Amino acid sequence: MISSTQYLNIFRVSLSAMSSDLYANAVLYCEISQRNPELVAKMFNEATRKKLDAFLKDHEAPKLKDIIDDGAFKKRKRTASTSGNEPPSKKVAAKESSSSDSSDDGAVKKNGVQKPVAVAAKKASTPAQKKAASSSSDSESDAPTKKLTPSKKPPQTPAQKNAASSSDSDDEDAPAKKTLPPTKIVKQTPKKQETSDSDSDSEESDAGKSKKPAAKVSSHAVKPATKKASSSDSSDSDDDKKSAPKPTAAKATPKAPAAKKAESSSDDSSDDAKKPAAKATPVKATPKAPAAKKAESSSDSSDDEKKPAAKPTPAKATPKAPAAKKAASSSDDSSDDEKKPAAKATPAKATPKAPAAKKAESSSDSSDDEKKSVAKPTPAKATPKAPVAKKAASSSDDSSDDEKKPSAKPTPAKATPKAPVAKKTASSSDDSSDDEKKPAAKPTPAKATHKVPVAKKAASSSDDSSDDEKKTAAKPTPAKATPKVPAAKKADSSSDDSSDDEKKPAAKPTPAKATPKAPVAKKTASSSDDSSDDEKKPAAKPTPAKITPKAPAAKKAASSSDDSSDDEKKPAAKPTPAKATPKAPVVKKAASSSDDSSDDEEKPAAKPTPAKATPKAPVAKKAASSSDDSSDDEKKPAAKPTPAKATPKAPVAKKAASSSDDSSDDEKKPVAKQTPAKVTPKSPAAKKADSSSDDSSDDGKKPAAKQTPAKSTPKAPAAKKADSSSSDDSSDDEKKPVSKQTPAKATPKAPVTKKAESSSDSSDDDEDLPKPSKSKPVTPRQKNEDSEDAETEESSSHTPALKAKPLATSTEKPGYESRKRKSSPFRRVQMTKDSVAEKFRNNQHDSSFDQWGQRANESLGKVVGKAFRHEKTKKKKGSYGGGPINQSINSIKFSDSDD
Amino acid sequence: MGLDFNRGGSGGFRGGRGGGDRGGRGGFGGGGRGGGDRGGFRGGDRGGFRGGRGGGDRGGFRGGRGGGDRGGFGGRGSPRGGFGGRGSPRGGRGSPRGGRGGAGGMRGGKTVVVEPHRLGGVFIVKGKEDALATKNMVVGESVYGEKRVSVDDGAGSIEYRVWNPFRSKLAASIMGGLENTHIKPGTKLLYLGAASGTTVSHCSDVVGPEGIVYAVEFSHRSGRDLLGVAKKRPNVVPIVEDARHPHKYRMLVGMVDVIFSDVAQPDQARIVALNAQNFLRNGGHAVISIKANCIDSTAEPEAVFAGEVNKLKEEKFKPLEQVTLEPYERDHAVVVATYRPVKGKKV
Repeated sequence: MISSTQYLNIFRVSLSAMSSDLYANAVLYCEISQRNPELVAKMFNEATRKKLDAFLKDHEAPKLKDIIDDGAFKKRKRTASTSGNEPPSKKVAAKESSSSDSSDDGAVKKNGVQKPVAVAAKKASTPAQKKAASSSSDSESDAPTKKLTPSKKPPQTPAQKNAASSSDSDDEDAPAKKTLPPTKIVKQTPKKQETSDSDSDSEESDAGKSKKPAAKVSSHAVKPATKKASSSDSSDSDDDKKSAPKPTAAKATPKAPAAKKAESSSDDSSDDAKKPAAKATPVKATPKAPAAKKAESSSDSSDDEKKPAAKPTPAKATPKAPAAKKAASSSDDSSDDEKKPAAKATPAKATPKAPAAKKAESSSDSSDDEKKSVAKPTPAKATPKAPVAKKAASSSDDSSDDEKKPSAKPTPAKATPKAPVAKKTASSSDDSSDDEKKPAAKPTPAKATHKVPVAKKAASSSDDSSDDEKKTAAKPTPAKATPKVPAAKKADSSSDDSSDDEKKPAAKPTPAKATPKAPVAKKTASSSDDSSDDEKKPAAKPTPAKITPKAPAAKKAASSSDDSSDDEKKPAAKPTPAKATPKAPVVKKAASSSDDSSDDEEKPAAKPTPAKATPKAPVAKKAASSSDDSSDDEKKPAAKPTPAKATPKAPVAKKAASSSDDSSDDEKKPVAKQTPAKVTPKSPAAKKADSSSDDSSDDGKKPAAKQTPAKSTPKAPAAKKADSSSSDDSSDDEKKPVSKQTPAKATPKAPVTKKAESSSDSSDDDEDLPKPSKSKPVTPRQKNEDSEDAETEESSSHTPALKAKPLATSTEKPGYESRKRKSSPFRRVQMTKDSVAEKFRNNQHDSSFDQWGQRANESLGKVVGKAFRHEKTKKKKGSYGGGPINQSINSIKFSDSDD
Repeated sequence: MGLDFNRGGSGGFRGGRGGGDRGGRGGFGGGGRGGGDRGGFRGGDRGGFRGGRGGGDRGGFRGGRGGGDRGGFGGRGSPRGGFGGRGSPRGGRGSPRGGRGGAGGMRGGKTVVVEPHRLGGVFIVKGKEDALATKNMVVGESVYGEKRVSVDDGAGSIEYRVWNPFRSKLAASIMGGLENTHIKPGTKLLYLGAASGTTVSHCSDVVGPEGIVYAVEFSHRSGRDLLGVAKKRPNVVPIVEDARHPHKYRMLVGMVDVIFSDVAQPDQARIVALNAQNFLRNGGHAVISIKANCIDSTAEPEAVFAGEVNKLKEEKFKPLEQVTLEPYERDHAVVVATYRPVKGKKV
């Protein structure tokens, strides 16, 4: 076993050498090139591509499956953890998400706190790497790599926890970890356990890459047979994990999804919450149900996606190995920016971020592990977010996260990771479950989240609350607590989780989307895929839970082949909002070096946009946009904030709302100019420039959102997004929709386009226009799809349904009005009886006055038309007599006022 | 005798024409007039004609009798009493005529009291069944077959024509409790939508010899009957023109105190306004019968009425009161408004 310090050192090197973005990009690059070579050119500029090629030469391309397989760990982890890894793992885990890895490592090493991490890294390294998104560990050495990765992760986590990403390396040191870990431990511990489990699994399945395929297969298999498959997947994932941590993650995810996600999540959660797997199992069960549903429907697509994702993960892992530092950074970056990769330039930034991310990742890793040992990307993503949050204001972030979206930001990260993992690994259901679960507490949280999701389904607000509660209470709780605390790094991870949870809760869609996006970005394996997955997953999740159906449906429909759709979608953006968002982010990343830097940092912020964006947006929205910025990326804070916000907004809007959210947002916006949210959003958007304003708006919105997370939040996010992109856009969207007759679809589209444009503009400003544009279009489409799906689908999906409904209603209203106007018969008298003075409202015979006509009234009052005329004719004969005639006055007088 | 014969002949002729109220009326009128001047000539013709037809029909029958009656009538013989009682189908119609005589005879035994209504020119015949009535301007003649009631106040007999609210919207509005129709003896009235002149004949009775009624009717068929009424009533000026074009009869109509409108047209308010602009004095009144279904059959009657009132307000009318015509008419209302009310002067 390598000493934890060694790992840390390696990790540092790798971090410095490469940005996490690079790794993430590499994964994404590989995935995309596999599925849709054409898109590669669009997604990555030449420079980026060259870098990636070079990187890939040295490193084996990570595979998403591997990453996803991590989820499988959990089961194994449990078994493994039970062995004894758990305790260490707990410690390690406590420190970091990678703790699982560390735990594994810890089992082996169990040296300092770091050691656990390192150990975890070793075994879990695969997972950790995946999670952390630092395939760097892999790169470092196949076997060693893993260790390294873990080590890196742990360090990262600590670092993240400890302080900014920059300090991560130092922090990464065992001491730092130790210090941090303790705090973290509480939360992380569970994670570690999970991770450890996963690690153990991975270790067990050292087999190697072969695992990946297996994982993939398993994942596929899982899809068919959710539970069984999941179990098998888990095993597969374990195998995969062995070969590559990522696989484990993948497995985990798959399992979770397959099993119902719950399993994976449950494992995670169990690990996190309780080292003993006991909780996990139960948790799993819960998750499974939801997950299973989602998974089944979307599982296929997700599986497909996941597979790709998994593959990337492996690739990442490998890459990491080659360049430990780079890998680390790259891994982080890659995870963060698989898509961003673009951000090669970013690397620096990315790296920093990555490191931070990594550090965070460590935490994130732990979370990841817990979550399912999401692929490194996930971790990376998570990490980034977490780091960011930590960096900016760990406390602030945490608090923000907890309270608001800030949490969302972190959440996004976490969510993302989880989501990614879940998505990658498992089917969408898994993803959703993963996302939710992950967000919540990585493992435990995840479970909680899952539950929450369910709750969300029931009631978005409930989700929020549940998330919060869950976090606080169970795994989440720790995480949340920590996050909230700001101080605790672990908290960060946990905070991330919590944030995720919160986010998810806040806007189910959002969370889901956010998560997905984040995951996607981070996971990257197929950033696009991931994003799509994420989006899909969220959607899917929502579906199961809330509106998931819609989102899923949309996703499904849109991309029965998520992968292809993802790739395609990215370009086209057609797929879900998520995709769009992802694309945008990706584009941005790829497009501008700044993007890269931003990506790294931004990942959380910009790229993440989807993920990050969401987070950022949320953050900004929430309250401390500044904090978010800082939190997101130290770097971002400055320029990024705006860009980030902008980007995020667009993405966020989409992401935040998640596909369902997005759709809902879009729909809502369009539909409802009505919605205050929209209005607010606009203002926020305008404000966005001023993060503070956004934040305030966010805050206000968020609270609302929490209660009715889905709707309010989504709207706000969407609005914000639009706003971020451009307040005009949002306004346009809303207005346009309204003005436009077409209800949901038409309006959404129009809005979308506008939004897209605006968003693109904003994004352009911040990032590259091209991608934004794509993303924008996509978003609309996605939204439309979502809306459609939502409409079509169950009303159960509150958010979607609501959104859809609003749209529909809104649309209907206009239509109805127009129809009325058109079809309304000619009327000389427009007024109604009600508008007539009370005394003139009765034109009936007053029998009390006219006794003479009473008899006639009796005979004539009950006949109409011809019969009336007949009766009246008889009266004309002169034979009629009615008795005495009342000569008094009985007319209705017009008062002077009536004049 | 020739006269008698003629009358008899005319009577027969009428009988031949038979059933229609109007026809009967026309014949009646003709007969009445013909009396002295053309008697022989006409009588001969008709008589012959009738005679030709006449074997067993009631025309012939009547003619035969009629001759005697008329003769008697001319002589104003009592036998008629029985006669009046007799002709029922036409009887209704005939009855007025015979009624007069018969009334005396038939109802002679009954106690009939005629009381003035609070509205000038309108009376209420109190009997077993109360009835609205106007003092017949043309004694001895019934315009549309309405019953006539003659009361002998000692100085002479006064004949009243029963005013059936089922036939007249103005009567219905009075029955409905309208405070003031503003149609009283001496009133100059512009009557839009006079139709056959049934209500116009009562208005003619109300305004009396001092007043005048300009009866505007656009339908020639109805206008023909209107002419018949106007022939006997010197205070009725029949105008067969479109009320929408007051300039076409502006040379016939002077300033009026009241416009009564029963045109049942969607643009009734405008029609009233046009005529008011041309003929209605300031502070004059408009009594407008509104048929809701003619304005908007899909709208609620109350809303239609309110709408018409609003239109009148726009035409410088000040609405005073409104009354429903139920049960005499379906979805009708009568609105009384004052035109360009003079300040300080009570309407």
